[in-house]
Amino acid sequence: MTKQEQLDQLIKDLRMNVPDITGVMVASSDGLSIASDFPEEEGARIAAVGAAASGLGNRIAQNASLGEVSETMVKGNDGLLLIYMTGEEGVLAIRAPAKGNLGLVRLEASGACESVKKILG
Amino acid sequence: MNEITTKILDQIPSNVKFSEEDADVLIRNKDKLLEWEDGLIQGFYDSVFNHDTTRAVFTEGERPAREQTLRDWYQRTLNGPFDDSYWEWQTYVGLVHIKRKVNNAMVTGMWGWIATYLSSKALEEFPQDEALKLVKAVHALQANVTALIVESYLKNMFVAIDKAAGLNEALLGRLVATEIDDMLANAKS
Ligand code: HEM
Repeated sequence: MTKQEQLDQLIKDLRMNVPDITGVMVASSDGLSIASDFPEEEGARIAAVGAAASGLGNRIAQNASLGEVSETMVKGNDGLLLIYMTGEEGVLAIRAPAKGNLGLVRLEASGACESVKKILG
Repeated sequence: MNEITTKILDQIPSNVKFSEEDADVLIRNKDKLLEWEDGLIQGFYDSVFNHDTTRAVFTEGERPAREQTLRDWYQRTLNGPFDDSYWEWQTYVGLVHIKRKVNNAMVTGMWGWIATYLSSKALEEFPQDEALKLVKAVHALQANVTALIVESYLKNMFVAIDKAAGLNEALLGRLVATEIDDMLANAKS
């Protein structure tokens, strides 16, 4: 399987394992969408702002002495976006409902992060 | 030459860029050009101090020190050499200007004034052939120096944003790309 196919498969698996999830994206750390099942018109913007949130999260963690960042989360009334660094070069963004099973999302996300790191690395 | 300076100068078409010939013509005429120094400094700072937004850059009583800065720059320019450290210094000026809130409109506007002043003096005081070579040299110098000051102002803004907020230049470019089509559409309507 090519890297692209592996990432597409990983997204499908995540969606199957956690039906609550409403969108998954792997993007480069400079904000280019690499694989995604967000609607196309949202994809480019989510990749760019997701990478930006991750970069900003890292700086906040440095300035506030929070240690290494494991997750950046933006929570709204209608949903939340979880963003994870996957090594130096990539980010994984997952959108889920505000009242979903966050524990399960996080559990699956952590496994997915490791897989993305391996695929991109 | 440092990376940022090289990258900026590489953007300028080579027939427009400051050349060995331009350097020669300035340096061989430097005695005459140095006679114009007082007028240059006076005219530059009269313009800058007669306008609210540019005057607001300066603190009370700062004018003599800034006149000296421009004098030093003019003398260093005419004495040459146009080596790496000269061009790197112009890149550094962009950074100093960020700190002092000297924006790019101010710099490009005042460079227009410098180029007009030196060109008119050249046309008044030199035979036509040499005067035209001087005019070309002044404009090529303007191209290099404004490119370095203005672009390093912008690039160093990006570096500061990256340092402060973790948004590197490529990512900023991507963020801009997500908005630019809408902005263009709005600007047209
Ligand atoms: C048009 C061409 C200009 C050139 C070639 C130029 C050149 C320079 C140079 C060589 C320096 C000193 C950098 C160093 O520390 O080594 C400087 C600093 C400075 N310039 Fe400019 N400049 C220009 C335009 C302007 C304008 C239009 C303004 C204000 C409206 C301005 C205000 C300043 C100020 C406030 C400083 C900081 C001085 C300090 O705090 O030490 N400059 N500039």
